[in-house]
Amino acid sequence: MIFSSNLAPVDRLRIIHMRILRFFWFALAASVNELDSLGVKRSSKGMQGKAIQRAMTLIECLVAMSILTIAASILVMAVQGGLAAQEDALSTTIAATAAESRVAEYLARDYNTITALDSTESVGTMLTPMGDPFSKSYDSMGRHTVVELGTLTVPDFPGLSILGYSIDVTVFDTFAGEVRTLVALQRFRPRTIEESAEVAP
Amino acid sequence: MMRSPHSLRAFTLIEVIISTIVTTLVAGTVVAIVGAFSSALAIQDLRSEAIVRGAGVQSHIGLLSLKTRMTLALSPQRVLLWLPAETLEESGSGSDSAFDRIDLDEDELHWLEFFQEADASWTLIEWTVKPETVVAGAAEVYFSADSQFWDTLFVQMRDAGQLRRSPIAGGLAAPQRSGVVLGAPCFVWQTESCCDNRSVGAEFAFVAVDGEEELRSDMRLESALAFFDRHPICTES
Repeated sequence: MIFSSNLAPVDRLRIIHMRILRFFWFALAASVNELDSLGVKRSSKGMQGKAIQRAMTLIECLVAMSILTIAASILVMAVQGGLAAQEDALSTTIAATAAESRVAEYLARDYNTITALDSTESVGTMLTPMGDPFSKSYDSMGRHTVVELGTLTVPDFPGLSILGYSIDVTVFDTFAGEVRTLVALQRFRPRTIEESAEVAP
Repeated sequence: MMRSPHSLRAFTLIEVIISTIVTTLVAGTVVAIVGAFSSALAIQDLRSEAIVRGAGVQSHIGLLSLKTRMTLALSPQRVLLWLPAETLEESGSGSDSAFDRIDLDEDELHWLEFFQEADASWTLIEWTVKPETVVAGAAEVYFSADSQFWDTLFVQMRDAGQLRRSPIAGGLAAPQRSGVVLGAPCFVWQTESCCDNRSVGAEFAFVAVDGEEELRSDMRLESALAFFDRHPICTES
């Protein structure tokens, strides 16, 4: 969960949804008992003239309750769905910053200090380039980094091949017990001489 | 007119009890729904702000870091980015005329600053020089690795009304680091030396209060200077 709170809003709405359904069944049972105790029966031809005084029939009551429950359920589900989708969107946004941070770390390094790497930071253990842990908002995420020496070819320039490191970063979380990829970034760091101060610019 | 005996009948105890229970249940459910909906809307607002403003800041810093060749001054609440107007080809040649001089009227200096508003929230602001306010003959500033020099220049130009203030994102809060809420949003970088630093970023949070609960979302953005270029003075020293 991105926002720290005791109970997730989605869970709160789920509880309310259950309450609505429970209320529906309770009200339905109460209505049936009540109608039975009052001796109310379905309208018949003989009762048509007094229809204005009769109570609701069981069917009418059922239909009204069903409509009410369905409407309330749809409303709650819509908000639930919106919240869940929004939490996913925020997770993706935050995950992108974690991936970008890792890529920036490699792009900002002296080329000569980069080495091949294949490492995974498990969920809740990601570190910033300064070695500090990320904040609580990142606690549900982990990160996989692969740095490989390779060459980059440019389709429009046949024969051109650039030496450098390919940096692949994947940020993931666990959802319903399974690992879910939130963001995958790939960058290429071409070999540079000037900035490593081997040669004065 | 006489009313029918049936309509005069009072409610039975069981009727009153059942109707009271049903009314209570309905009222309770309605209150719970309204409460949860207002809470959900508050959370949705905060998340929307976090997504939109976070992405906005990220894209802005990303764009600036693509054009920035050096960070001239770095402090927690203010950084100065140098975006030379000269092409890389010219500046990379080491020619003094191309890379030594900073033209104030060429949009080469961009200060990013976290500014605290009256309501205690923070706004990320970009300050750039208004070219029309630069006096002829005073548009050239020579490179300096001393961040104090740039801070003084910033204060002078801001107080003289020579800087354009462009808010990038408002409603920001201090981030949390290792479980401790910092005093203010801050910039992050690789190293304080302007001759070696090749990345710039920002750390901030979005905070909202829902009843007694504090909802918080922290963000740390970081971007490498894509075309970092070490000034000749750095190499000489």
